[in-house]
Amino acid sequence: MSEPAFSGADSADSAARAARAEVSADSTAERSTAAGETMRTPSSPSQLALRRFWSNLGARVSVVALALIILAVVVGPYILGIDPDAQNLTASRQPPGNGHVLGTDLLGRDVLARLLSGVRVSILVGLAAAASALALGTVIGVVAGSAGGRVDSALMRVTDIFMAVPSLLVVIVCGGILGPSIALLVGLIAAFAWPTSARIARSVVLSVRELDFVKAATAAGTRRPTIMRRHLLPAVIPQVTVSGALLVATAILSEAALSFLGLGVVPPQASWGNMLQSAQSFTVISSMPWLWLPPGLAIILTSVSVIFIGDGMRDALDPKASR
Amino acid sequence: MTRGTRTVTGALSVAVAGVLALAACSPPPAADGSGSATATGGGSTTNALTIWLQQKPDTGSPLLGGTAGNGQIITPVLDQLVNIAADGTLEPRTAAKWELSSDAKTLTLTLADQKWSDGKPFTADDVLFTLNLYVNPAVKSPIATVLKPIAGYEEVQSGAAKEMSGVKKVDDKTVQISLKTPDVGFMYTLFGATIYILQKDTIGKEDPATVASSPIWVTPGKVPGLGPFTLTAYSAGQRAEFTRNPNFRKPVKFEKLNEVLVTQDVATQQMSSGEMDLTLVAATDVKTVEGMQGVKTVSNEVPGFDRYTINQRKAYLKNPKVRQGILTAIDRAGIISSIYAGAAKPINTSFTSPKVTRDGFNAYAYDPTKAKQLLTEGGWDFNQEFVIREVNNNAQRAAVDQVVLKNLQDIGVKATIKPVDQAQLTDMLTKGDYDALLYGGGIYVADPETNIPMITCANAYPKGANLPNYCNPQVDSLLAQASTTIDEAKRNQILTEAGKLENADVSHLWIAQPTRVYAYSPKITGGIRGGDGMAAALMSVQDWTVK
Amino acid sequence: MLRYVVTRFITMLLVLFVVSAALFSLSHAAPGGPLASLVPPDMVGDSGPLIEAKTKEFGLDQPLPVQYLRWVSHIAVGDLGTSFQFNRSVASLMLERIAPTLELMGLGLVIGTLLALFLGVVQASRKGSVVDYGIGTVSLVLMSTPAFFLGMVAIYILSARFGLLPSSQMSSPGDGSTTDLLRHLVLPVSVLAIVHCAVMTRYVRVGLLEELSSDYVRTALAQGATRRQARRKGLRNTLGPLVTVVMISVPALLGGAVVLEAVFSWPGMGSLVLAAIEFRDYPIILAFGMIVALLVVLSNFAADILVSVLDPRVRLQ
Repeated sequence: MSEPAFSGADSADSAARAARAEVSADSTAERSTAAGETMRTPSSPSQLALRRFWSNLGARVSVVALALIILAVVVGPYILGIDPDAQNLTASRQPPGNGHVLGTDLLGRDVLARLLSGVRVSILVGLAAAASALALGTVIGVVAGSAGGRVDSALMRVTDIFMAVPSLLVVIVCGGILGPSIALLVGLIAAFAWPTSARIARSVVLSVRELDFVKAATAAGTRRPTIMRRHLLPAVIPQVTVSGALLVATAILSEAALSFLGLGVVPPQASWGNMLQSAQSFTVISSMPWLWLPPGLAIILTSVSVIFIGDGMRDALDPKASR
Repeated sequence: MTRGTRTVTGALSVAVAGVLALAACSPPPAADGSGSATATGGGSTTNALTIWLQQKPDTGSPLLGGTAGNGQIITPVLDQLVNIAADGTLEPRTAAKWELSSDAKTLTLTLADQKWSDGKPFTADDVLFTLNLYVNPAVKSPIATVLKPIAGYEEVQSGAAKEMSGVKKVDDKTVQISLKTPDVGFMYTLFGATIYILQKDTIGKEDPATVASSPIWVTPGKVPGLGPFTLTAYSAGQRAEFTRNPNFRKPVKFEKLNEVLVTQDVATQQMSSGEMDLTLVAATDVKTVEGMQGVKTVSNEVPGFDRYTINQRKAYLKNPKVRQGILTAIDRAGIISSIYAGAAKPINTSFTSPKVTRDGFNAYAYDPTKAKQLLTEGGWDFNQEFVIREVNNNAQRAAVDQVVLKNLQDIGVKATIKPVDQAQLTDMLTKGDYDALLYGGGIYVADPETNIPMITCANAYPKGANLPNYCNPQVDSLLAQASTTIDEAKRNQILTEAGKLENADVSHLWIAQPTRVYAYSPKITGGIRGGDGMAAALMSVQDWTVK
Repeated sequence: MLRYVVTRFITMLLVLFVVSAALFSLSHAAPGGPLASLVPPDMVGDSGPLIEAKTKEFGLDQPLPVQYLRWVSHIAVGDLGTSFQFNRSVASLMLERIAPTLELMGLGLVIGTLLALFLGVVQASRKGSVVDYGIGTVSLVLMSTPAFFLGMVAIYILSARFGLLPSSQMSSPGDGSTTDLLRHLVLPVSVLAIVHCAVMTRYVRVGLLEELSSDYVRTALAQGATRRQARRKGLRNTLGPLVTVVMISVPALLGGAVVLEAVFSWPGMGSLVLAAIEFRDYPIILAFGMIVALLVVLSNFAADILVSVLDPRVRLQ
């Protein structure tokens, strides 16, 4: 979208790193078993990874923050008890007070209630879009990388096509034909984000498949789909998931930008993007901070948390990482 | 890719980006066509005023249907016969005097004593040329129908004649227009239409088949005009620059006028930073603007109004009780106090001219219970979906739609909003694929005859401008009667009767008659009179006093 | 080798062909058409002859496949057509608008990248310190801020509130001097550069740290090289992946940041195309789409060829 998604940069290098990490982690576990000196049962690579993740302060704080946000979304509306769509035309654009913690908007609707409602939508869109893009991209990337040859070129050309078509154009036209909706938004964001995941997955596969244990498996006669499932996918998933965190953040920002342009979530449903639209007015931006600061800060906070978690995951999966 | 190759390709692309950026870093194709523009003299800036260009112009052609954007770049350069001010009074422009004969069949125009911007004398020949050009079938101007009542119109349209027999030159400064049948309100429709007087000598040389979309209209120096300025620079999508025309009837008091294309929010912000000298301000920003240092405001009621066209081609919307019910369900007072920030008048009729007396008209005060009752009486099926279409380019209208949506949902109507693109609007209206659509504008305040195109049966869309396809034959006959009634008092009585019927029928869902507020910088010390848009404010530019 | 180039070239043409068909069907699938904006609804009844004439002029009376073939045959030879909206050649309109976009995006990209290189080096050399965490946090927050939000706040503070900088467009009316142009460039380029820099800094830092811990650098240090020399060696090799990212952004340079152009009323390609979509100005929409597609496809093609030429280890398909 208009916010560039740079998640594709962690390509071959980090993929190779991850592969090496997997291998070395395996051997670490084996060594401690062999020595027989450890008191507790040997830790699996995932347990080690989880421990490293949790030791990262940023990741820890972010998980807590994200959990709070999700809690607020799920429980908040019931505690608050205010309908986000309830209008009160006599109390237009009131500052915080009088039963409205964050004041009211142009139509007298409670800003906090709309913020919570918007969180739900924005995170939903972000997660759904990222998940779809990841799933689709991973499948295509793994298939392309492991199949090679014509299939690989064809799939890469398809990726090229998706990267070549200007995304905004497609969003506007599809919105015009089908009418803007959340499902369409998720679909479109995912449609333009999957090529990056595909490239990452493919480069991981390309480097992993040259490794000895994969070559050995092929030599032993294991069928391609089994190799994909048992060896390639486990190597791809961590890398792709890390970029997935960045993807969620990008998806959230894309939704904000599109809703801001009027192409995303349609009122009366609140979303952070369309709440920020009001900030274009001089009056709002200069004298009514309760209308735009909360959604703006919410976007920043959520994105930061998600990226921190992504970083934590990346470092947790790679003990040789130099962070 | 190995590191080496990556570095090579990488470095290459950075270099490419850098070179492109530097190459592009020359001054943009300067609006005035020269390589670099000269800065205006350091301190004294009352030399030039910058005003808001409210919409993007495209062809800038006076012969095509006027959009607000095109209108605003035509108005400084070309002039009309007479201007209808926001309050309905007629102001002389290129026609200094006008007189309708006692039998309402002849309109005599006395032209103003002025020269064209290129120095040539302005004569009746130019007026005749202009009117005949608009009607010329090769030009295909949509505005031509305004001139239908003139004798000889059909003959020119069919190709039988080259000029209308009803438009005659009496002498160099007098033009006589003869109508086929008596028509008291004709001059209001004539003056209210966007007919700009064109110079016979220059425009007469253009090919009528291509003149309407010709690039001359946006090319500086090609079009002589009777307006207060001449076009000196035009950059599509950015701005238009004009220079004072010394041959104007009352030359303006400053040298240059710049119209800058930005959004209304940006224009309002620029009042604060000093980059903008005059702009229309959104109702919700008025208080803030009044708080800006040195900035003053002037306001006026618009000659039109904001309303929903409610599609009476649909069977379930044909019953007036249904429309009454829907109107009663809308909290219009609430809309005015919040969305219009109080800067609007309630309205319950399409006849905004004072010639129609509105006491005794039904006010349709907000009453959800009564609304539901009316709907039930009207046979409304509460399982029926009510689709409000919304064009996604106007924040104020979007907010009104939200209120109406909620109001209707609260009384149990299955209302929804379906967005529609500007480019899709005509198709949607033609197919009738909507239940309600909000729009505004119009100049109805001068005389109720100007309402005829929007509410009579014969003008049902797509044949005419009666978008909702409202039809009450009684209203039609009363209006027809009024156009031939010479006695003013009697005419007003007939018009009021028509108004009463229309009010009871709820032809449109009337929302409000907004007040426009213009904000101006300390550079302008007075003289601004507003209207519906920025172009209307330019009608008073000759009276603006600057510091 | 030659066979590879030829095959790739043919696939490239095929991709362009598919994209052209997709673009064409997509833009025509959008409901409505260019004629709706030509004539306002209340004038439709009187505009019969005009609408008829314009339909013919725009070629819209022909069946879609015919229109497609006509367009493709023109664009294949470089004729981009005439804009419905402005009645001017699309090529001249785009040339007029591409300079502002390239200026904005190019400067933003270059400045952002340079700043990121500097900051990334600072972070890597002072790893673990307050400076490192400070820059890291700030860049993370900036990366998570929507660019348009940043722009709006910047305009409000620096332009409306304190009147330090102009808030929109490329120049002030009546003034076109270099100072004026530069003043108008500051805000939009800064916002773009900041956002870009925030993203890039992370990559520079990580990449550099990785290089610095690799064997060849440690060897160099052991052999007596100074830290600065080691850093420089590492930096040179970090440029690779960094510039891959920059390369990916080059086609996006053309479309510009549509949202930023809207926020700053910047008369670039982004706003031209947005307006063209709204109007259904097919010639502009299609020309723009094809040019972007061409750029993307060409840069991929060039990259593949360069790689195969420079690195004999990479096996060609």
